[in-house]
Amino acid sequence: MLTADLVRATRRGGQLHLTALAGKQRLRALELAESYLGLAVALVGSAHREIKAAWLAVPAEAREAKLAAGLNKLVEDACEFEAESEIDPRELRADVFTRAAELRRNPTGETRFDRNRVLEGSGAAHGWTPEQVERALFSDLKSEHRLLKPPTVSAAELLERYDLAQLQAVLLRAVKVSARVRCANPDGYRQLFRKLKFRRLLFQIRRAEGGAYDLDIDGPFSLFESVTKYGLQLALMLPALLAADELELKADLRWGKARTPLEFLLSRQSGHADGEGQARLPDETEDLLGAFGEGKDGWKAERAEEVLDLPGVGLCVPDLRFSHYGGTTVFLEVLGYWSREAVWKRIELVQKGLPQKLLFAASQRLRVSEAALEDHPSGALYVYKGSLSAKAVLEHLERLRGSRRAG
Amino acid sequence: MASLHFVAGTLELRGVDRALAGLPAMCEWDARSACFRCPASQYAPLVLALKAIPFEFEDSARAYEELAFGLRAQREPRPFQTEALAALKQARGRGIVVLPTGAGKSHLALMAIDKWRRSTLVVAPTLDLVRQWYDLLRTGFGVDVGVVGGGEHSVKPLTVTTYDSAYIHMENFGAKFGFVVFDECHHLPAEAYMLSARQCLAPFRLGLTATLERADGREAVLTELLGPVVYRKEIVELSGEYLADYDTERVSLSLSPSEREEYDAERAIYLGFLRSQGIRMSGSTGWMDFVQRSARGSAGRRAMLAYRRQRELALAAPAKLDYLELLLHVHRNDLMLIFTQDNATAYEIARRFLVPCITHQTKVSERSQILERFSRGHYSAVVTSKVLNEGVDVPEANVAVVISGSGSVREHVQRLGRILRQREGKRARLYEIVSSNTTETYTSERRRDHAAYR
Repeated sequence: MLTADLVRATRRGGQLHLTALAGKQRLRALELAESYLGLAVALVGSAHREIKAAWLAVPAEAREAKLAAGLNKLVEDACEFEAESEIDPRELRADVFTRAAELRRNPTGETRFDRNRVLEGSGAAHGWTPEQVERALFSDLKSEHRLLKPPTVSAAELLERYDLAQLQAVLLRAVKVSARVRCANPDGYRQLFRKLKFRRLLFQIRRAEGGAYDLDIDGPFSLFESVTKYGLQLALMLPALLAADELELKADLRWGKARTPLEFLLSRQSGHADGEGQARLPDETEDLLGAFGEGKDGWKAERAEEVLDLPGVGLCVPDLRFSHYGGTTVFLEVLGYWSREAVWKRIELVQKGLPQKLLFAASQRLRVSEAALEDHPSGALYVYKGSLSAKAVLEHLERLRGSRRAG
Repeated sequence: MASLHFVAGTLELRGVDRALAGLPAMCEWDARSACFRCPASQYAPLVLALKAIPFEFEDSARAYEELAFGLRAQREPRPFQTEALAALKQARGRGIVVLPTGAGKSHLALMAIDKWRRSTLVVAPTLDLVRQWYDLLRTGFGVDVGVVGGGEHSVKPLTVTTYDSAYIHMENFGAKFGFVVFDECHHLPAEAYMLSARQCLAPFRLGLTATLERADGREAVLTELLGPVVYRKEIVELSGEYLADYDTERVSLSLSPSEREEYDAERAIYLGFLRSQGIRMSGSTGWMDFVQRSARGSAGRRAMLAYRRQRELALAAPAKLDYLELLLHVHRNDLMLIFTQDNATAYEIARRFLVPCITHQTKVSERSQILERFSRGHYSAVVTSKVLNEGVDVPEANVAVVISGSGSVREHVQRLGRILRQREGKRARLYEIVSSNTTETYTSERRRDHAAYR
């Protein structure tokens, strides 16, 4: 990842604008990336400081300084360095410094302090010349580490990394991210919320127009103070947000040394959001949709577009929405055989008062029992063997509607 | 029943309806997680306020323990340590103590830990100090001590960490300590570090420093984070009695004619650029303006190079190293600490004079070994850049040489403090080697602007 000081951006009217890497400049960036990568390949086995010096010698205009430093950092991050292990420089140092202190206290000959004599004395034990001792003296410093493996990425791939790294580096200084996201299928939302939770971020979610959702993302302490403490988590979260089919993002930043409040806006539409705008559901869910699509015993099914949130407890993203002509609505989330933990979380959601009626379908392989939600007025668990059965789903729907049908 | 939890540096009061009236003012409703929330540092006042209502709740937040052990060796405290402890007790275990380096702040902290006997976290600015606190606590209390930072992560009832690690990890372990000690607490008012004090639940807090005043005047915020200044003694009040006597000697060295010429030429380029851009370095944004504008064109880049070169010439002029050679000889039977402004100069000295060097790149175990051999007189000198700047205990050192320093008063007092530990018949000496007629002379004047020098 890049650091915030390597971001190429300008400030205009309270906003931070990234300087796009396009046209001639992108070609130039490619050229720079190739130089850095090429040097790393050519200098395998050399010391870190030598490689650094070689990278610094790549000619770059003053106005390209940040671009060059950013690309260089990504190349450096992708390199594998290692300390030379032949000698133990620490032992060598202890020996050299001890001899030096002794000689200084008890000088011999005419000079106050004969440096070469110390190096010779220390080297003699290993059969080394004073020059060899000198070279080995601090060979464990990072600047002396040897390049073991150069990066394996191409220059073009590096540029893609650079584009993402620029965006992430901006978010390092974010105190809050507001995003409008639309995912073409429920699984997109599930992935997104799972990652939010994994990053230990907090969010508020609101339904927006066009089946999208508005999210305000920050951390627990943000309630009291605008802190950049969650910047790294927000930056790491960005790929998950970018995976949404549509994204409008606004980040509140504290930018530069003076921590000036600035806004950063980002808008993305992925290719697969085009066309009909909805991705296919997993086959068995599509089959179920087909079975109920035209109506079955008073129930009609359609794709669900809701994210059901119970603040403080959690949320769920149903796959289908079943409506009975009598007015009852039941959501179905297919949990499959993904995670037993997820099933307990859903049961908790129902027990803690999620207002909607819900049916969860979990595979028998998860070793859970329908008894966990037996007779609950607004939730049911359907444990299936093999594939989902429309008949069994119908029975659960009827039970939740309040009329238990006979077998 | 309602319950109180520690979550990521905050306290969550769960199981309470949003509409409930009469809760203490520090509780804010958090719609994101449907509970009341407040910063972890509000733990003590919150619990007191809830109990006063009275409001029944289960406390799942507090994760610290009462220590089953105390100080093993009770040393006769110096009068000012006893006074400081009494003042802290008066302030209900929250406050700041200002004492000169070398006066025994660490021992005061041990006494305070012994007094309150709660799981304790000590936060120190450098890994050297972490190592030193580790040794102090282990020998003082005779128990295993945890360390977080420098590649280690073990949390125990007595734990030492760095300010940087505290910023990262306080949201995880902030409930595990009932007492927190911020050593060199003048560092705390930096934005990120303050957060670690707010994310910590510890009801008892002690800040230690020799130099409370900050250049940015933000020391006032410490009262909110740690409590008021409960005790204070200046360096002149203690000198002679509890600190070693000291002499200071300033050595002005001129550059060689060719260095002088180069220095003047580079400085002219740099100053010319400032003038052409209308940048005033004395202004608060001067340096930032310069850095920003120097990045914008070849003249700017040249000016930056010129700035660096003239500084380099002033800081590490060969004449200074020659003088250091003389000092190393003169004081070959003393114990000398050599301080440099940057790592490069420190390594240059280490290579040239073959003296051990400590920088931030030196591993903890090697630092310990170097300092141990130094204090036993095995090595007669150690060179270091800023890492040894604060409170590191090298009581045997009796000569300090500042090769080139920044203009900060604080840094200089700490350096001086290093060689001021009390010892029988000891008279310490501090050399400051500057280049004459360079900007460094001004820096040196500013550095002496402290009671210790008046």
